[in-house]
Amino acid sequence: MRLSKIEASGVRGIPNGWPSLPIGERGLILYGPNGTGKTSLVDAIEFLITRRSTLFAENRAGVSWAIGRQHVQARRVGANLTVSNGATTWDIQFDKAPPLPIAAWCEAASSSSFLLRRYMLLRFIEAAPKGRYEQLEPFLNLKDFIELEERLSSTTSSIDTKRSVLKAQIASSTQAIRNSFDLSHTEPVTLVDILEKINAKLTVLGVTKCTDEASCEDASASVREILKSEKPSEKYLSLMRLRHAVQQLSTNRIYAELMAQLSSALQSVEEESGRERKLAVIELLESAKGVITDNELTECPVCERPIDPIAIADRLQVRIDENIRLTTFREDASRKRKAIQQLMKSSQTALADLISEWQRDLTEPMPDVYREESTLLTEIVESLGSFLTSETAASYARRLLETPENRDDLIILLDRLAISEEKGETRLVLSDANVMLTTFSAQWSEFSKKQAQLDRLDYQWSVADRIHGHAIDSRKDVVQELLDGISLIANDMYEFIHPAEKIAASKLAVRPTEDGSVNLHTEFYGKTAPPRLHLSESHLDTLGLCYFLALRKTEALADPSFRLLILDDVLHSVDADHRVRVAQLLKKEFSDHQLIITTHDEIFFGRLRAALGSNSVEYQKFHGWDIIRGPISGDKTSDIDLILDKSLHTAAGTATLAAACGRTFEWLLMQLTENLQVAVPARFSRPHDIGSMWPPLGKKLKSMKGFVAAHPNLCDDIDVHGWVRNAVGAHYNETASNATPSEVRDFALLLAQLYMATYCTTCDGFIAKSGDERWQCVEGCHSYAMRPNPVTTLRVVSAQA
Amino acid sequence: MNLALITVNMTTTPSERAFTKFLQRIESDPVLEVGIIDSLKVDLAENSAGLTAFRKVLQKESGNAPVED
Repeated sequence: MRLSKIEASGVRGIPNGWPSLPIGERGLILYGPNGTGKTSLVDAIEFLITRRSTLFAENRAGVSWAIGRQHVQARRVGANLTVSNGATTWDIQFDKAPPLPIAAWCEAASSSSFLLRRYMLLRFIEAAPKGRYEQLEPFLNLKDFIELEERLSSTTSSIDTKRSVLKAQIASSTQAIRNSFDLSHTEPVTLVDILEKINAKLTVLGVTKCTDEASCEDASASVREILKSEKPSEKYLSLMRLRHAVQQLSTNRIYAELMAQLSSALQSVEEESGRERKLAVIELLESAKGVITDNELTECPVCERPIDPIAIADRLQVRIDENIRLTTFREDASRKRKAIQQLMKSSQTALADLISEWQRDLTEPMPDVYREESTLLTEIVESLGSFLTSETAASYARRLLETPENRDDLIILLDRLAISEEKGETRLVLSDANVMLTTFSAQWSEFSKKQAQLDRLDYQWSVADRIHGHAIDSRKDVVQELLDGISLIANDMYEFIHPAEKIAASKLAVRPTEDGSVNLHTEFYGKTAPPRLHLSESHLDTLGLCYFLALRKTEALADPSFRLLILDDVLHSVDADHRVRVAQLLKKEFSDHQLIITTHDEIFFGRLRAALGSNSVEYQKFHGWDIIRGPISGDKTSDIDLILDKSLHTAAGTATLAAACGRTFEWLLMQLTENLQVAVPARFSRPHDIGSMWPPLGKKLKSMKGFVAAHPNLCDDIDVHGWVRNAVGAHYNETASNATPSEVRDFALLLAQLYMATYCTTCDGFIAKSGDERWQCVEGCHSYAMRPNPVTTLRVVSAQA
Repeated sequence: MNLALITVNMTTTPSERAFTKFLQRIESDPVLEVGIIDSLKVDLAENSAGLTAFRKVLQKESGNAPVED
């Protein structure tokens, strides 16, 4: 499928009634200075094919395609794009869906990257890794697989939430059991261990050992009987109350773990809500989307301004998806927050009561660390009831881990005081046994039931998480394969544009530790770093161009049905020689594509013409623009073409030829003084011109014996005709004066001779200094030596011939 | 440019290649039970949005604790 004609009317800079523009089977090359309407045509073509526009990086603050697409003085906006498959032609109209036979082709276009605008050039290079992945994502075509990943993620997440809530629910009974039985945080809580600890105490007291839950009830009754028969002192009873309270205190390890999970959940909420969009009601968004798409609205029902219904529906869908994700994350975080708050509230109260009772009953001071812990718990409980960030939650998790790992110091202190009382040691064993049996009776049944449930959930989570991990790794493998292919193509193209520079071998790499994130690094003299660190602006531009072209190339390999490439004036920072290489690259790599290229650089226009040829490619020049006429078409011939083709000299007219001579002479001097390393007088406040460049270059050319041998009179003739360049306009003067038509034509012939003497059409570049005694082109097919070999045949070209 | 250098297989879509790799990974995972793998295959074949078969088997394997949505 090929574009064959674009007819724009009232679009952007193109007024109603502007003539149609043919597009060659292999493309259209459009030259024009800035602001002459080239991009308006590109905009029209893009919209007609894809029904959307990338003209503006963001459609906001009243700047959007829907509002800005109409010419400010146009009565109506419209356009028509004719496409053809060679046998049949179809018209795509501005306000209608594409004809059915080409709908699939338009659909392929919509999901392709085929248009590069200047603002997009560095977007890929300079993007953050996540942003770069987002740019690659539509191209990666992994939608179906990502759906599976999301289902697995949702399953894993729902199990994890349930697990966290359950863990929080049994945290207090777990802690009470650990404390009562003196089990550390890392030891498992098993029935065997617990019975062993109870029986150790019962043996000392001479009570029958326990073998199961029922026999523990009998042992408990026996211990209570012994306790009743003893009459301890008030101080001893007070110490035991405190000891029991200490044993019931939780440590904060489990809270630190839960707090870390809450921090992670809050981070998901923050990342999703950090996209600068406010939460809206999903039903409302879906309803709005329905109204717009069902009624095919083209005007805002409130302000009656034109709208782009497809773009708006897409944006609403993005918002709907975001809101669904955000709501899910918020619900998850909320559940976790409530569970922790409930648990910590009871811990905070218990610790505060213990401190208060200790101060009332004992003269020995309580260690400061517990008062600090109490303050921290109070602060956290209050924070959990108000706004909490992931960072604050993470900080609390760290601070909770800094609190005492166990309460051994308090127990030892209280035991020391109890033992000092009458029969203290025996009473202590009795008290321990009572605490153990009471705790066992109160907690074990519920704890064991919930622990079994938690074990099952742990198993479910580990399996789901493992499978989710496999899905992520599989996607990353595939993405890396794709990226390797793209990098390979981009590097090949970059090497073509910058041969032998070897400064920017690049690599795209999936970041292993993050999801949806791609690094881009280049190698610069042994240093691997982000390209912005070492590369010049022009190198970055060409790297951006190469990645865009590599993506297009890879897309075309995957879907050969769509082969269109549009470059909208993207080479503003690249020098003339490298533009020539770009032109050659496009010819070499995209000969199967239809190319639409706009440029404000006349030399690049000429080089594209030389590289792509006239066969099936349309060339068009705009030389001006005004609000009434829009783009004003000009002569399609470039300056160099005009000067080299003697047959055009008379027809062009003296003024046009003179202006072309002025521009060409200056351009030739810039290329040659640079390539031949000619010393020119320094200038700091104004650019070089013919007057500053020709005298030293002429002298240099005359000093090179090989050049003089091949072109004996050329420099002298240019010296003799030098005055003409002032008359014809040395620097973009449009009007010649004081030179006759034949004098201007003679000057043009001399310039043609200089061009042919210094430009190699095989290498598509000017000769350059190669050592002290030789000038030659890249491949050496065009060279001049200081001591010319008489046998060597130099190509001597006469512009007259 | 030598397109033969490009290692990317263009005959299948990236999603299809990711599915293939995913199945290879889970099938070669020594920890995963056969029943779990088969249930995932069923869900993939039926494009089950809720991964119904997988959840059911996971629930059974873990002793009937429900897998919540």
